[in-house]
Amino acid sequence: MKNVFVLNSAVVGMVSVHQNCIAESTIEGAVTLEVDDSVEVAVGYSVDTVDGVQRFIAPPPTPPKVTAPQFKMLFTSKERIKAKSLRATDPGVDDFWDLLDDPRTTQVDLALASVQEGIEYVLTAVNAAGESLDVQSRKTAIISGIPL
Amino acid sequence: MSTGIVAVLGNNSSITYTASSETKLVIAASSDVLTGDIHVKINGIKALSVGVGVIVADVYVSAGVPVKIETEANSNCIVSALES
Repeated sequence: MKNVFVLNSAVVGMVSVHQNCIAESTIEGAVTLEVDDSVEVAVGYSVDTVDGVQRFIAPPPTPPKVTAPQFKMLFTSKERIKAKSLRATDPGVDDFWDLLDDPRTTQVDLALASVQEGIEYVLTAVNAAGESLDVQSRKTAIISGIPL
Repeated sequence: MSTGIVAVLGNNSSITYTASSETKLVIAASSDVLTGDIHVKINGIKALSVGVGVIVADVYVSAGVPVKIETEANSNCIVSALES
């Protein structure tokens, strides 16, 4: 049996109990849920209760870090070509691509908010320039770090 | 009471264990890899660091006397019981 400690719908601690003992969280306000050992749960999971039954939901995977060339390859060739053509007229696109072209840029952390904002900016500009795409779904795909 | 693992504690957790006969509790915890600190308390007293890596603390408990073992953030431990 596992005692899972939940605060604000998030799992904040856990004790796997094998013999009779009292298990508690040291975090004030945390609620204890008793779950079977077979249930997959860990700190960082969220808890959703549907019809009185708890479901533990794993957090989304952390976006990876990739090299600058790998990052560029996450865009489709049409997106890259359109972004390249926009550099001359759009300072936002030019600035973002400038950072990628800087030889000191060895890694692109896809988890960073500034990187994610840059991706969205470029995709929005590419879309507005006539290369029709679903900005949010393409952004999600690029942040996953998995090429098409 | 039976010999074996009592509980596996994740971070920010505690157990209160009361043995029915004289018992040795063996507590294995990983220490902070940088500082060597042990983030485990036994009856409110922080376990002493004996080096970086895995440490083992032996706690002898009498029958009926509760022992509280708690972990801090980013810490975990395994508590096992050995009947004396």
